[in-house]
Amino acid sequence: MNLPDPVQLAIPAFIVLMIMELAVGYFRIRAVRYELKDTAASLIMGIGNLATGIPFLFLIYGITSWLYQLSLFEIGYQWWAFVAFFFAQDLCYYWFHRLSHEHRFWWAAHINHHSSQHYNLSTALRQTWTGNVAGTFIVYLPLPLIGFTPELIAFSMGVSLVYQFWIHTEAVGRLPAPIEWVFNTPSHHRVHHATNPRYLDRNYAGILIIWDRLFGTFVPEDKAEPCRYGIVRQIATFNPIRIAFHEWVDMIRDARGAPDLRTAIGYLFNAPGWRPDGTGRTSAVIRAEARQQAVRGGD
Amino acid sequence: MDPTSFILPLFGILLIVLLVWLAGGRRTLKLTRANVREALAAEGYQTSSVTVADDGHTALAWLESRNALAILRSMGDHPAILIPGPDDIRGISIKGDPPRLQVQFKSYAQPPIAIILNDQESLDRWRKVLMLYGELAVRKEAAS
Repeated sequence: MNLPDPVQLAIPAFIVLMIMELAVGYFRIRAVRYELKDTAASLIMGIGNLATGIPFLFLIYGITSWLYQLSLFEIGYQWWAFVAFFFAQDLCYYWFHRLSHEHRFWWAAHINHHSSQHYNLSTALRQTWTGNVAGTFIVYLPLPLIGFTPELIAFSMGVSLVYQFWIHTEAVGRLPAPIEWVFNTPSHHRVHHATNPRYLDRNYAGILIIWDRLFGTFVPEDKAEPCRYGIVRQIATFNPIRIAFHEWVDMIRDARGAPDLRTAIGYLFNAPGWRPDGTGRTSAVIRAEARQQAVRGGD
Repeated sequence: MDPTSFILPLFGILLIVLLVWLAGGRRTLKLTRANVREALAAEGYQTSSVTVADDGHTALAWLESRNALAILRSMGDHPAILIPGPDDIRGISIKGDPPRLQVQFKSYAQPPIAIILNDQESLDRWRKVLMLYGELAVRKEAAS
């Protein structure tokens, strides 16, 4: 079965929606802000993501097809296969995304998506150039082994990416409760992009927020605590090369300067911010500090 | 992938960038003592000393609540805040007359900063702070 490429089909919609969001901000209907250099950097990152993805398309498709030959079940294109696959793929996305935040090696590939201090539809396109090199696709490899076809996998990953475009906006407030309970929404994803301690490393969902509720990583947006966007150590550059590679450069420098192999491995695979002397400011440390501060403040 | 598939995204980029520019997206935040304190307060920090570069692009602040230095830069319409640890700084120097403070960072995401410290009091104050962050190479050069 020939399935279309959802991302290619969605590009005109991406452009139209960005223009609409820009208009919403310009006419002050909602507090949407676009800044020229930030937007240009995000869009160049998007194009770079498309370009750097091409050589890996063949490699990943090849690996997936090979694994599919070893599949346990012959699922094909039954109607229920699409339903089962929707949940399976979205669950894989949750773990891919969580892995990308909780371990520095994969964070190095994902950090660029979070490096804008703005939160608008252009931020959605600030995509990785190094995700494939980092091998994040391995999280999806059980899918062909189960028996889902490579075409269906490629299609659904595109659908997930397209879905996640529209949630990168401040132009949409909270949606009706049943939708907020089941789906990843702009409100939930604003939390994910925020650096406020209580919001750090939360709401990893792709399409369904139920995974965060299930695995204990869900935090709702609190109007009393507006989101501050970006990363804990804000970058001071709009240069796409630096945006794409800065964490790799820093991580490799740290690992090379490590006194022993154990520390070097710690720099590569422990949580972002980890330091061997225990002074590192990981998300867990930042959250704990904020909690202590709140307790002290409440005394 | 069809190479022509890049034409629409490229056209889209140009269109969006043009519209953002026309819609006033070319804002540059000029740092002041007030907005530096405000930005740090939003992150939960209390500041005692703040020095802002004459061009309003860079500022130094001492965080009372954390006993740490904060470096702020104007990044478009936002301040970017960095609270460096001693290991984050590659080199610090004060050169020239009036003294020009330069800080170089280890991180690839942090280009160097330079601030002209107009008065001796500022120089003395920040020299003490910066000593905590590594060796301070002080070199006075005659103004040309």
